[in-house]
Amino acid sequence: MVRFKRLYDLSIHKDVSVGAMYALGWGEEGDAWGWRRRLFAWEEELVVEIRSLLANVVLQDAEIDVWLWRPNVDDGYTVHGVYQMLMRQEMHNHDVASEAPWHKNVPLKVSICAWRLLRNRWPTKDNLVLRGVITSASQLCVTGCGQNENIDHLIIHCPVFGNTLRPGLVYFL
Amino acid sequence: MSYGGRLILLKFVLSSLYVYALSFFRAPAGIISSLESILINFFWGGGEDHRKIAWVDWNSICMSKEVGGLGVRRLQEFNIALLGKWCWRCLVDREGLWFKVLSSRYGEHRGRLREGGTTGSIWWREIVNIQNGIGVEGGS
Repeated sequence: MVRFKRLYDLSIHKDVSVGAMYALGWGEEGDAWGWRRRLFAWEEELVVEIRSLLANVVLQDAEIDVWLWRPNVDDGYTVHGVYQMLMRQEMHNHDVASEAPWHKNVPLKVSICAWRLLRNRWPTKDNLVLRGVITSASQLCVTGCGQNENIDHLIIHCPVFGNTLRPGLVYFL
Repeated sequence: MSYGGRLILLKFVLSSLYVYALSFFRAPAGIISSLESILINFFWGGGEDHRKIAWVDWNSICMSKEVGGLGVRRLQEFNIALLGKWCWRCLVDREGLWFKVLSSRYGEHRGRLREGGTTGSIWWREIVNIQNGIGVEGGS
């Protein structure tokens, strides 16, 4: 349409449907090509081009026109499908995090706990310091091992908690 | 209530309360953000008079589970998808009384309802905007 805008501007059949244009005939001497004035040479070239594009197009008389929703031709427009489409556009602006451990045999609250763990969003002391809940002076691990409490320390490196939590976490990680 | 319980309540009860309103009207950005702020506060365990830390940002929560979110519906996108259904029904569902009303109010031109310009009702102007992709990120 954009490509042949000039021809459309000059056409005397602006309100005619595609079906009616086909009936008029869009071959070389077809009546579909009616112009408001004589065409310039370069416009004639456009006509040749559009005719060659249309040469193989055959319309079925028995078929009635239907609207197609191009993103999903089979189902047409569904609210769910369009929402997914809009969110896919949105998704490109985000880091895609690792897949969280959703499993139907695990209680949802446990899955959410693991989901937060994978994103390092447990209320560990270093996270609490970042958010201004506690001061940085009090972020030592409570076991007295002398290190700051953060997620790696808590579940892996800490001599007390690491050994306790690791067997349970193996399931998720 | 646990996080799991609150998530279920959030996804299937709280997010459904406003479906009817959103299927008809374009919610202003301010309304959307105050609704979302209530939902966020609820999810993280806050109450009417106190807030809790929101550990994960809302946009991530609204991503689908496959890409690391919790699959909560985003209001703005859902609103557009619901309103877009009207544009679609204007094309394919032309038998209904509602379509006849619109058709006699705005008229038809080449098989489509006329946009009506500034004479249209607020509702119809919103639908026309959605149809033309105005205010819809990424086009129609």
